[in-house]
Amino acid sequence: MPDLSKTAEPMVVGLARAGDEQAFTELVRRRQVLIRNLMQRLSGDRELARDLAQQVFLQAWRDIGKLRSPDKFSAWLKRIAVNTWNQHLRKHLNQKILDGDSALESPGLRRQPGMVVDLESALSTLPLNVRLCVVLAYHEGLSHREISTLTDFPLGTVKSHVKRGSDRLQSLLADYQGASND
Amino acid sequence: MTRKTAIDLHGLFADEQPDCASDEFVESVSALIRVAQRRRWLRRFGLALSFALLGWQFQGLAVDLSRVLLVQLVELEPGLAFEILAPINSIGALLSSLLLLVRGFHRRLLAG
Repeated sequence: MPDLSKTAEPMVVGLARAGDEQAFTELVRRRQVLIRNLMQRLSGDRELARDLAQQVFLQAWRDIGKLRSPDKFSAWLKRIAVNTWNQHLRKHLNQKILDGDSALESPGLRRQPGMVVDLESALSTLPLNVRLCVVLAYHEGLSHREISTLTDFPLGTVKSHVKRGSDRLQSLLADYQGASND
Repeated sequence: MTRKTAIDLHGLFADEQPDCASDEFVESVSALIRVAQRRRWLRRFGLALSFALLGWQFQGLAVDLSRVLLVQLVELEPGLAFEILAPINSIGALLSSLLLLVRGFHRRLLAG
């Protein structure tokens, strides 16, 4: 069995497109952290993030034959991840909650030391579409235009969501830092 | 009014990665793919079997239908006119033309 761990990604993607299961497994190995962390940031739930990440890779396996440019695998996978997340939301929530100001917000930040808990708590207070834009902007480092392409939100909406979300995070995290310093 | 210090959100997101790589996750995805593969093959087998059974059941009907589609609209003796008009001088050609017309009309309606 050839070792693909050092093979360039476009080559591995090409093999996976041709139906090579070992190559696809290698892609899962390489990209699992990216997708699991993205889902974790979006859902704030480790188990749910794991289930959703599995669905993302299963969908990628089904559709990899449709991927035209192997060097765009990562962006393509992120799009599947965003679609999977949106499908999950559509199944379980309604549009009012997605865009809402206060719906689904957590009752309050967990006042525990450690930035991970704090960032996750702060994220969980954001409306879901705002959270999606903020995570893509700060976790994935995407531009507003890239987020717009990925989510199909209008560019203006993306800018407004990112601004609103980052202002809120700044405020919540500063409050938290202030409280933990007291 | 208190002025709050801006927090580096990019840095915060980059510093704290909630999850790490695991072979167990890779294996769980592979297991899901194996199940999906089995289902895919079963579906294909089911479809092939259905077509084979349908083909066997409706073979006579298909032969009759093909005969009807080849019936000439205008009776012509073999010759030059017969050769030229053959592609459009049949019930099948008439039905194809009608289908094309309906499709064009439908598209125009949708575009309008």
